[in-house]
Amino acid sequence: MSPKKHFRLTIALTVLSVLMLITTQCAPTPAQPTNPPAAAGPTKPPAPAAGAKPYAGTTIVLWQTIGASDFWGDQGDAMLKDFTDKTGITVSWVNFGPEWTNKAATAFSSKSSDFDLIFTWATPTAEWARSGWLEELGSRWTPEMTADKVEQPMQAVMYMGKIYGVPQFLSCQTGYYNAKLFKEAGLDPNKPPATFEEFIDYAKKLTKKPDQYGFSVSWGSYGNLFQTFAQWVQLAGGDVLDDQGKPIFNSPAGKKALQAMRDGIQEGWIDPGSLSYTDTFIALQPFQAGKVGIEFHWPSVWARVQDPKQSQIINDVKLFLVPGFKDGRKSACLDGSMGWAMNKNSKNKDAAWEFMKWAYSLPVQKMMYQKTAWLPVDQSAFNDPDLKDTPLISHYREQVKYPGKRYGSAYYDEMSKMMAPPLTDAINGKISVDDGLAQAFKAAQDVAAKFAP
Amino acid sequence: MTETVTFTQARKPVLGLSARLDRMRDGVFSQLMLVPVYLFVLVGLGFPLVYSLFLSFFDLQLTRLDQQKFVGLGNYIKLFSDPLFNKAVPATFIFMIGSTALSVAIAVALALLLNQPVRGGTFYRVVLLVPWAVPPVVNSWMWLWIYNYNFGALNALLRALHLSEGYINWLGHTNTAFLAMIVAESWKAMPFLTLLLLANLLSIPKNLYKAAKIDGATAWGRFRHITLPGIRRTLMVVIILQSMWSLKAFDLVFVLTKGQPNDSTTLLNYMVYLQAFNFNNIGYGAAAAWFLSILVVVLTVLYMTLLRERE
Repeated sequence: MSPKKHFRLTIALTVLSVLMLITTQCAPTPAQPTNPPAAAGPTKPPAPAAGAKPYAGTTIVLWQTIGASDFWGDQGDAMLKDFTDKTGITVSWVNFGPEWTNKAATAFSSKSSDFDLIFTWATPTAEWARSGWLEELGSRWTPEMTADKVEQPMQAVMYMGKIYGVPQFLSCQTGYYNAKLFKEAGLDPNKPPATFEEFIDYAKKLTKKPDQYGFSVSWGSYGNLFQTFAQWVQLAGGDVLDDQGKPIFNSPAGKKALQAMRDGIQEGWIDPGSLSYTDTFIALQPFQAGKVGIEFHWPSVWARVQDPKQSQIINDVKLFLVPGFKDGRKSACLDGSMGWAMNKNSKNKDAAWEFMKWAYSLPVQKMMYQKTAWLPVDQSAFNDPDLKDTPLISHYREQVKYPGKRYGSAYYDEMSKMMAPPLTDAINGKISVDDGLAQAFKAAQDVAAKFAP
Repeated sequence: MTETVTFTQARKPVLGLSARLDRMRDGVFSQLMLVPVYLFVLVGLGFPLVYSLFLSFFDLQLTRLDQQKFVGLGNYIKLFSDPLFNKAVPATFIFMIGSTALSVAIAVALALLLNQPVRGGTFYRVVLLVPWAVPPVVNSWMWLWIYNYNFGALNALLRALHLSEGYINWLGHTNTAFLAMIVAESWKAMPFLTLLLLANLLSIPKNLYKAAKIDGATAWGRFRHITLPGIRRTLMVVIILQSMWSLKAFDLVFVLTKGQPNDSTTLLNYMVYLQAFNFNNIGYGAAAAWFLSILVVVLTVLYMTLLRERE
């Protein structure tokens, strides 16, 4: 064979191989072992006999935003193995990072069955449930689970009164303060602010520009700006959206909240960097460094501020109820709870439900709290002898008496984005609070109108 | 007498694959071998492009696929009354001009410096590549911390040098946030541009400079009459490249500012992402993406025309 002929033959065969490889990738994948076909609509499966492993050999795929170690610390892999040992079900945990909801929306819309469970919070649940992408699970909840649940985290998995999942952890914002800075500012370190007015007064006293501020928050992201506004409106006794998702914040409470946000920046008791912090944990760092006196943050922050590798204030941090305005609510625990929802197109619904039940069980919840300080979602964990007297659980037993709404809606993202410019302009003093509120309200109404039935 | 003529059909010899390939003309063979590439381009680029153009004519929400509605050019018309778009377009242009001007100016200066016979020149050239080698997202995070209000290196430096009494909120104010983004983008882009220019500078004959010096030309004169004409073509290429790259900026906005404060740093690319993937407005997002694509094509044609005219 001539060299030219040989060369051409080699090239042709290589190209042919590439084409074959491409075409084989387009072929449908062989069917996975599936559960018995589920009847249409939400169903309650027959309870398997104790010790039986009816779904052994099944692999369920979980789409996540964080890793198993973020729940159970160094026991993450061991916990998943424990589930596999008990049920015979293998867990494939896929971590997509913070943009997992975008990935999910495209997968859901193409009716993908590539995943069985997805991690969620109030807003994605609303968006996905409204689109008919989630399996309704209310009828699967056992009486024991229902009787044992804490109400607050149910926001993460409910939409329009229906249950679409199982909460994994309770998260709602509470108050943290630096007792040492209180003392230095002449404030009683054992007497945190009981009202919002007191909080403002304390924050002013704690401010020593440019190295120390009373309060810090992350308003560099429109989502977090909206989050603070929603929280402060509730503290002032109002609401941002009604039960049908209609904006109602053009109220005295809305004005009071925005006025306080503006005052914080204009009067200088809020860390000016707050306007640029795009993440709540970036905003937390000045607090961890002892440069900020008060913070409203998630429960998992407790573990961070107690960790000497991350915090310089481990012996100085105390907890207090997020304080409401005198003529508003006493407190409001803005919700950030998260949980699992089930893909309506999942081929392994029963096996996936086994995982949900396991994630909700007391030993799993206990381990999560002990390793990462995410709060449990069931009453039995709150009352467990090993946990009930820990500082965080003791504090949150009181804080969750004042639930705060997260206003899960299918248009949360777009609405908060469109409200951000007028709110920011008002905070920066470019427009009046009245104008800022009116413009933000109009923007919210416009977005909500697009989604009206 | 009748003559009988019998036609016998000549039987073509059956050729094997190897023989067929051997007989094939070079042009046909090469085109045939490029089929996988054509397929890849068609499926991987062509189809999404055409499909996104198709989608841009629909009012299509990812969360309400059953309610899609044909709106013709409605999405494109809507763009011009969208306050976010009306902020993003000028911001994108200013960002493109600002980052191109800054990175090209620094690149020219650095290329001139590295073209000098200095000891350890190779070392400097390698060091210069570091910003370019840093992944874009890492670069953005690095700048996020440099600009951090409380702990940022920039504020610490300014304060240590007594150039600032307090801290500057670099990413918290409209103008400084935009400037901060331009600097971060230029820092990342500058090494590659410098290398391109340096390669060109090295090809300019040294005796031209010697002759000019003998004739009494000043440093500025030598730059203006020898260097600049010598690198003009590369300079145009560098400007085109950086302009196009800056129009694609996304990671910087995503990490550094999320388009804030007050949407002042929202560039077109980020706006497309927000509309299509955060708000699930697929049709509208596709229209914005097509606007950006057309903008890139128009600018490229304009630059290429300018380049040809100069030649």
